Order: sequence, then structure tokens, then C-alpha cells
Amino acid sequence: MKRARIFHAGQAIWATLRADGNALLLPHGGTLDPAQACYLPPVMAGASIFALGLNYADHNRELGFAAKGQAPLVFLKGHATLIGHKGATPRPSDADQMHPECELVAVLGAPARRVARADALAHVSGYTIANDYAIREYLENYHRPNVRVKNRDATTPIGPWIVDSADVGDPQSLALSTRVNGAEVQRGSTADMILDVAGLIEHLSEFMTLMPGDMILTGTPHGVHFVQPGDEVVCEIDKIGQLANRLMATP
Amino acid sequence: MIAGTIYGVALNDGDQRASLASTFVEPPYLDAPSNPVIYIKTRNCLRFGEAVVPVPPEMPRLTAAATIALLFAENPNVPVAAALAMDVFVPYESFYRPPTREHCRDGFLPIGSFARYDAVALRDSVISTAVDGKIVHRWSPSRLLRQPDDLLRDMSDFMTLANGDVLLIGIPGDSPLVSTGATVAVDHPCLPPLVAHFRPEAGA
Repeated sequence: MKRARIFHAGQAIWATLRADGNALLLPHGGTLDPAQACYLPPVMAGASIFALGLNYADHNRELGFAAKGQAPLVFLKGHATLIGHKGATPRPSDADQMHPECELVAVLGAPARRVARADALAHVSGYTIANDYAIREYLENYHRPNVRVKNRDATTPIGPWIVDSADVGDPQSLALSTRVNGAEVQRGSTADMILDVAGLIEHLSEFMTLMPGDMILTGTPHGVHFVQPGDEVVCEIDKIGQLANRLMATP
Repeated sequence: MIAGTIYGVALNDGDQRASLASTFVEPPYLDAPSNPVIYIKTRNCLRFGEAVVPVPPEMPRLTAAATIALLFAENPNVPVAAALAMDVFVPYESFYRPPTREHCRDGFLPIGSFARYDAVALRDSVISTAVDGKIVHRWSPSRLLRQPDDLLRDMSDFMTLANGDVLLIGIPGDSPLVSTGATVAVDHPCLPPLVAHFRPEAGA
């Protein structure tokens, strides 16, 4: 099952994608053409949004960071940075080093506190895709990656929907890729995560309670490509779908 | 009410910044922070009323930073209410990485009732913290490097606070350390009081 959050007839609602993929099923009957839907981030109000830095070995080599055995780099996002499928992200005029980052997102489906690795995936209800854009010029050495890089309004596309974990199976064997104006700029596999989804849930739930709806953006593989205003960016992950976004010029 | 994201500001205390000035020219920082240093508190931190703060057994002393929480509504980046808040965290030295593990444990943000926001009255006021009935800390938001209006002006270049978002205006660098068993009370002349009990974490 794929569950999308859409704006329809004056309301934000959850709709499910019909098995053939050609219709969104509305809560009280009726259907909508998925191509015509207005997609919102598939995110519950209040959810905690975790994100991982440096969680793929190949990306770390590219950025010049040694493979590491230290604690994972976990940062957080506010909700105003999230936008839905087919949204537009501001590309500041001085952001010459702005690049997309395709990421698998795990969605919690049950409260999790001190969950052992072996039980962790039973707490995941589904998966979606995020494009965790970074702007390298704005990186600072305090709480890095700082909010000016990672918490900008409308700069984290997410969606288009949440796919049930049962339909995804092993989250560590999924190909992910990013295309900019049709040309592939990033390709990797979730098999290359340093701390996998189960390990991330074990790590986070060791010191806090994760709640249903909380989301973990699990990091990105190598492939740094700088984007321009007007670019069309598509992030794709096996078994989940394609998340589209375009960049608009801002002062 | 609180319905959005809770943001806090590190290194906004002028006294603390002055004491760390020589550290911040060394690696990994190389230069003093030029922009507000913002972190996020997750929803599992929130507690209302007379709160219990679970103290993890391996870190029996926690920082209890008394501060003020500003609430935002439909008007972007314009505070509409204020409350006392206790930003609790595991003490840490490095400001290089986001302090997720230190700040985001369950119950690490007791918060009082919201009242009307008055920027001038808050700036010149004194926030006091008492541990087991004895006042151990007082500070005035006049110490802040960036007052809320300045913070919001700088943050609004790239982000919006609205729709039930919250901003904690800053944490004093000399905030008290609190041990298991303590009762901590935060008081302010124009905001409803806040009380929290620091108790051993259950099931640890």
C-alpha cells in the first residue's frame, strides 16, 4: 500500500494509491488522477524528523572524511523545511554549491524505546524518499550541518508517498539515484549505509522514545552535483517511487 | 498551543561567549560563530504541569537551563506568547555537531503556561532558578547577544517560525547542574512559574 498526503477539496487528507497505480483512492469514496494531485509532505503533525550525515562510506570518501567508528551524526529538521512531491525549492543566487541528496526515509509505526537491533524493523511502518538538499557555502563549524544549510524553508522535498514496509522488504538492498534534467548525477545502494535502518532505530531509541510518525532520513551516497535555477530534480528509490522537485531562483 | 517545531539557540549568552572566545579560534571552529547557533528539541522532550525529568543513571547530573519559550502563530516570525521553560541537557563541551543526543531525551523540556509576550519587559527581567527551595541561579535576558527580535530577523532570512512553532531564546552558560532527587523551580515576575522533579529514569 502507498499512502499519500494530498490537498484536496480544501483539506489535507491521506489517500491510497490503487494497486494499478492509476488512481488515488479518497477516504470517503471517489478517485483522483495521481498526476493531478497536489502532494503534501507525507508527514504527521508534530513528528520528529531525524537526518543522518556521513552515513554512506562512498560519500564520506568523496567529501574527504575518513570512514569512522564514532557515534552517528544525527541532526534534526523542522516541518517548514519539508515540501511535497512536485514542489519548488528556492535556490539562492549565491548558492553555487547547492546539491541534491537522495535518501531513504524510514517511518516509525510504533513507539520505540530501547529497542534491540533484531526487533527494530518491526517498529517501521513504511518508507518514503527525501531529497535533503545541502548548500556547501553555508556550512559552519557550529552544530554542523547547521540550520542555514539543512533547515531552510521548502528545501527538503519528501514523498510522494509512504510505502508499507511489508511491500519494501529488506531496506538495505534498494538502489537509489538522482537525475537532474534527465541526466543521472547520483547512484548508490542502501546496502552501503554505515549504520543501517535497524541500527539507527536501536541507536536513537537507546536515549529517547521514538513515536509513530517520526521519520529518519538515513543519509545519502556519493554523487555531488551542483544545481541551477530551473533544474528539474528526480530522486528515485527501488520499490518506493520517484520524488520530483524543481529549483526556483530567489534573491 | 505548541504544534510545530521547537528551536533553541546555543551560545547566545554574552558572558559565555566571552569566556569561550579563545576556544573558538581553534579547530574545529576556527572562527567565532557569525550566525545564530540553532538546535531542535524533539516532541518527546515536552512536559507540562508539574513535570518529572527522568535522569539517566549513567549521567546523574544534568544541566537545567531556565529560559523563555516564545510561541508563534499565523504571523510569521512574530511571537504571540511567552512561557518559562527548562531546557534540560546532558552537559557537553563541543559545539561542533548538533547536540541531538544531549538535548533530546524524554522529559528534557518542562514548560510552563503561556502568557502575553512583552519584549521589553522580558529583556529587563530576572529569571531565577531554585533547587530544593534555595535560589542557585539568576540571569537576565539582557545578557543575550541577540535579543529575540534580532534572532528572528537573522533566522527569517532562510526559515519561518509560525503555526505553533516555539523558540527558546537562549541558555545561560552558567546554568546549574542538577542531581537526581532535586526539585527545580523557575520563577519570573510576569510569567507563570514552572516546577520539575528530577527522578531516576524508569526501566533503565
